[in-house]
Order: sequence, then structure tokens, then C-alpha cells
Amino acid sequence: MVESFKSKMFATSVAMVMGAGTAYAEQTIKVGILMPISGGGASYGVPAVDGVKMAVEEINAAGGVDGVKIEYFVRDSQLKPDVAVAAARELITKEGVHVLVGAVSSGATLAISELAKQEKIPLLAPVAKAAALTSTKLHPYIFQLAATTDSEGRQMADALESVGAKKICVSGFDYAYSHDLFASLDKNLKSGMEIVDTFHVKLGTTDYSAVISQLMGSDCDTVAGAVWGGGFIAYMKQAGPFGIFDTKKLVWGAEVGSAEMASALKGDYPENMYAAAYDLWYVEGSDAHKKFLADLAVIEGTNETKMYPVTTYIAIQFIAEAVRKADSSEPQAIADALVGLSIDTPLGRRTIDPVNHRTNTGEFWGPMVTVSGFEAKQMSPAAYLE
Amino acid sequence: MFTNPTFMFIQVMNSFALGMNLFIIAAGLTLIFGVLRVVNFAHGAFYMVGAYVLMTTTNLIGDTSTGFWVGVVAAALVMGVVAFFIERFLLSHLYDKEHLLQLLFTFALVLIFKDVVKMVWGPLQHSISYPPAFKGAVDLRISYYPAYMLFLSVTGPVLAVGLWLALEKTRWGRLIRAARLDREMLSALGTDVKLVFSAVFVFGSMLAAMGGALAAPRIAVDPGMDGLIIIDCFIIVIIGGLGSLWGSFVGALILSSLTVFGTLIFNEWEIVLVYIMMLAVLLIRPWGLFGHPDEERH
Repeated sequence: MVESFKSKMFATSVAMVMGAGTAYAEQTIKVGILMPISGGGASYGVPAVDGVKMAVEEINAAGGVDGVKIEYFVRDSQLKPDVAVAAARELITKEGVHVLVGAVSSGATLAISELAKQEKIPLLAPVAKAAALTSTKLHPYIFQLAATTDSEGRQMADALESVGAKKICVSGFDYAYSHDLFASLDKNLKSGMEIVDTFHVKLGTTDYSAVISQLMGSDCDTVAGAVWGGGFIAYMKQAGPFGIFDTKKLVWGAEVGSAEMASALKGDYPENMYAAAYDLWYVEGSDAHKKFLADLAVIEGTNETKMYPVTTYIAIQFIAEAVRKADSSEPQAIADALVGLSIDTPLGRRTIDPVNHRTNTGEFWGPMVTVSGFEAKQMSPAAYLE
Repeated sequence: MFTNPTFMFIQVMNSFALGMNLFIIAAGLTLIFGVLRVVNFAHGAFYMVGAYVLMTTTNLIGDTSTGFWVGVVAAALVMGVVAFFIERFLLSHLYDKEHLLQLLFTFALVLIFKDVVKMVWGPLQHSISYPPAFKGAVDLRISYYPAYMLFLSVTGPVLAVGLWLALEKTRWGRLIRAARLDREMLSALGTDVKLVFSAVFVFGSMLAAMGGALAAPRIAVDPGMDGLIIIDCFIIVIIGGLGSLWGSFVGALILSSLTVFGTLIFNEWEIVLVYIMMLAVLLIRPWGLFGHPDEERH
């Protein structure tokens, strides 16, 4: 079904003139969005869908991709691999999507990736970071737009050097993401640094008191953390009264430096904790970044915009450019066009590596500090590390 | 670490505080089952509503002691009113129907509450501050310990004894126990059993909401917070015995001890330990440690 857009447009016009009228659906580039929009994952998925909406509306308002509009279908992947796969299958078979974008958790994304491989539908992963997605599980249809645990481990080592860490405790959820991240960190440790203790907790736990007590008893000077989302909030809330912030330095990955996390914790966010974020509304960036934030502020109804929209916005940018390059919305053509593709994004130029299908996605890293006039802490100075 | 008495003392304290927080939540579930014979899947959703109502109250009044305590009371009251309408106009029509319909109904409530919470409070995660009086740590001579954990450690036993006294020593307690044993006979003797059922459902739901509000300062408040707690609650009541107040108390302590010490000693197996314990109880005493064989038949 490889056909150029011009011929498709012509065929559609003829069909409509002849009264067939059924070819309308073929006029759009169909994008399936798999995001957790219910339950605990909704705090990631709902803003991520905002990024899709914004990119699609912008592209369509400008006339679409060479005249062809983008149409997107959102399905709730929750944070469960089985739910995500069922939703992806429905998007492919029922909606006939040409390309998939999702999901949030590495587990769900790995599961969808297998389906994408079987069905030969390109999958762009804007959030999931597990290195396995594009190493041991790499195939021609997966493209990892998120930072990976390989790059995050490298950045975390730099951050640890910045705070003068020597003896390090690592603590994360006991699953692939944390294991891969700390393995990468171990490889990238600077001279004079060592990991002296590892304290993992089960994924999804809400009680951290046992691990916090262990951390207190360890002689490490710095804690490198990777507990994310609501777990990070609970961890910090439970660690605070034990006085851990007074005795140890904290360096935390997993994008807990986001404005939404700082807003949630407010005064309970540890002062000077070194953290990471994909995007920050208060960072002065390029003109493209300023425009992106201004437009996002309209959609979200606040200037203090969220972090995840940029990830899916960039995914849609990649899809549009791939369709433009391929002059086709056919899945195989999109997958082929994505290999080695470079685009300008609000956060700079991004290129998909033709070998491992990863992008040069970086993150902002810096200490979270109190800023006069704001209830939530902000990253200052925020350095963009790739 | 394990030979360090201070460290072990803190772990025991952690287990107890966590257990008491779980007990406050699970007590409502076991009470409702004991009288109404309804396994309320929505108990976790009621817990979630409690946390959100506290959040709204502290946002309105401020992160003050007043804001917090008014919020805890408001959480229980709001949930109580909602539970009254649920019981009176919906659930009460299912008492004579098969258990499957009741299960489906409470499961439907879970889905409805999840969406309502997301519509009213949004999808983002939130955090609620500790009440100012319980923000720091207290010197226990052996070690400093978080004041809020101590507060939970005291609240749990006080609530347990209070509930026990209410059930054993008051007229309403006698009616509730009678409704558990033989609702038809109670009705024949002229008691408005419907009112007893309604009161128990409302009170059990208020306990869930109060438990959610009291747990909220230690955790993230988000639309998925009901999912984990309902599993914990069911583990507690299965271990302790469905319908048994003291069973819930002991079940909560067993679960919290397995969680805390399991993390320390068998980190990779901690999640399995709880289920092994539950399986062992089901095999040896299917009615739970403090339950009664009769409960199993319902």
C-alpha cells in the first residue's frame, strides 16, 4: 500500500466526486497514543497527551504534512504491560494507525515494542528509559526518544562530582530501570567515588521507613536515588523527619526535578537536592523553546507548565518529518524515514541514531533551591547535559 | 545493623506505626463485612477520597494544625454522607441478591470514584504537609523518632479499644453484634435492621476516609492511591479473620512487620513473604487467625 501523498489525494478526490465517500479516513496520518490516563500514571499520561494535542493542532493549522492532516487516537495504557498491549492491538487493527507513540513505564513500552515488531508498525517511545528497549530488544520499528539509563547514569556521575560525593548509597525501585541506571552509574563513576551500599524497595511500595533507617545507618555521604513519581514524594516525606537531609547529600534521577514534583512537595522538597528534568518552564531557552512554553501555557492555563508535554510534542514532530521525508504515511516508510532523521525541537536539534535508534536527548540537572516569590523550589542553576 | 539495638528499636517502632495506620483503614472493611456480609472493593476508593478531602481543606484553611484536624474530620464526614446515599439508595437493594452482584457493584464504585476524583482534583500527584505539631522528631532517649509516626502508634490502639468498647458495652454495639449473628431474629424483635446496616456502612466508610486522611502526610495523594491499599486491607482481613476487629489489629501488625523486616532481611523476597503468610493462614485456618469458622460459610 505504498503510495505517495499526491496520488492519495488525487484518488481521494476522485472517489469523493464519484460519491464513494469512504476514502476520507485514508486522508489522515493516524497516530496511536498509548499513555496512562487513569490511576497513578495519569500525572504523566495526561500532560503527555497535551503535548500531542499541541503538536497536532499546530501542524494541522499550518495545513498538515504536505496537505495531509494528522489524526490521533488516545488509549489508556495504565502502567500495565497487558493493558498497553491490548490497547495497542486495538489501535492497529480497529483504528488502522500508521504509527504508535508510548508508553510511560519501561515494562509497558517493552511489551508494546514486541507487538510493534510483529505488526511492523513504528513505535516512538518518548518517556521509557530502559536501555534494553534499544539494545537487547532493538528492532527496526522501535525508536527511543527518551534519555536512556546509559546516558542518565553518565549524567548522574557528573552530578555526583558536582556535589563532591565520595561514598555513595544507591536507592531505587527493585526493577530494570534502577538496575540499569545504577549499573551505568557504576561504569561512569569518577575517580575517588565508590558505591558503598544499595538499598532497593519493591516497585509501588508506599512505606520507606525500613530503607530510610538503613540509609541513616550507612556511612555513605551521598544518596543517589531513582525512586520516581508518587514513590519519590513518599520517600522524601518519610525521610524528612529522620533528619536525613541534614546528614547526607542527595542526587536524584528519574526527572524528579520537574516543576510538578516541586509543586507537589513545596516546602518538603529537600533544599539543594541535585535533580533532573526534561523541561523546565522557568529556564530561558531558545526562541523555539519560548514559543513552545507560551503555547503550552495557553493549553494548560498556567505559565508554570509541566515537563512531559515536550516529550510527546517532539515525538509528533519526528513523525511529521518522517512522513514528509518518506512522502508516505505507510508504516514501513515511516520506520525507514525515522532512521538517522534530524529535526529542530524546542530543546535543540535531535537526531535518531541510525544504529541504535536512540536520540541525543539530554536533561536539565542542577540543585533545587528556594526562589523568592515562589512556593515550589526551582532548579538553579540548571545545566543541560547530554 | 541487626545487632544494633537502636536500629532494631527503630524498625520495631516503624512496624508498629505502619501497622496502626493500616489497622485504622482495614477496621472499616472488616466491620462492614462482619455485619453486611459485603466485600467492599470500594473501601480503597473511600480511603482515597479521605486524603483528597483533607487536601482541599488544608488548601482552604492553610497548612496549620487547625487545617489538618478540621480536614481529618471533614474527610470522615464527607465520606459518611456519600456512603449514606450509596447504602440507602443503591447497595441496600442488593443485600438479598447473590454476592457476585454486590462485588460487581462495589467494583463499579471503584471505577466511578477514580474518575470522579480525577475530574474534581485532576490527575497530578499532591503532597499534604504534616500537622505542625507532629512535623519533627521526638527524643525517645534511645533514638529520635518522627512525631507523626508516634501519633499513629498511639491512635491505632486508642481506636481499637474505643471500637471494642463501643461494640461490647453500648446498645448500638449490641445491635451490631446481634445483626452479625442473626439479622432475621433482630428484625423480628422490632429493631430497624436497615438502620443498623446503614449506620455500619457509613461508619466503616468514615473509618476508611479517616485512615486515608491520616495516611496522606506520609505518601503521595494521587488517583491511583486506592489500588495498593485495598490489596493490603484484604490481606489484613484474610489473615486476621473477616469480621474480626482484633483480627484486623493483629493482621495489620503482621503485614507491617513482614513489610519492614522483610525489606531488611529478605529484600528480594519481601513481596512474596506476605502472600506465603496469607496462603499458610488460608490452608491452616481458612477463617483467619481471629475469625470464626461460621464466617467462612458466608
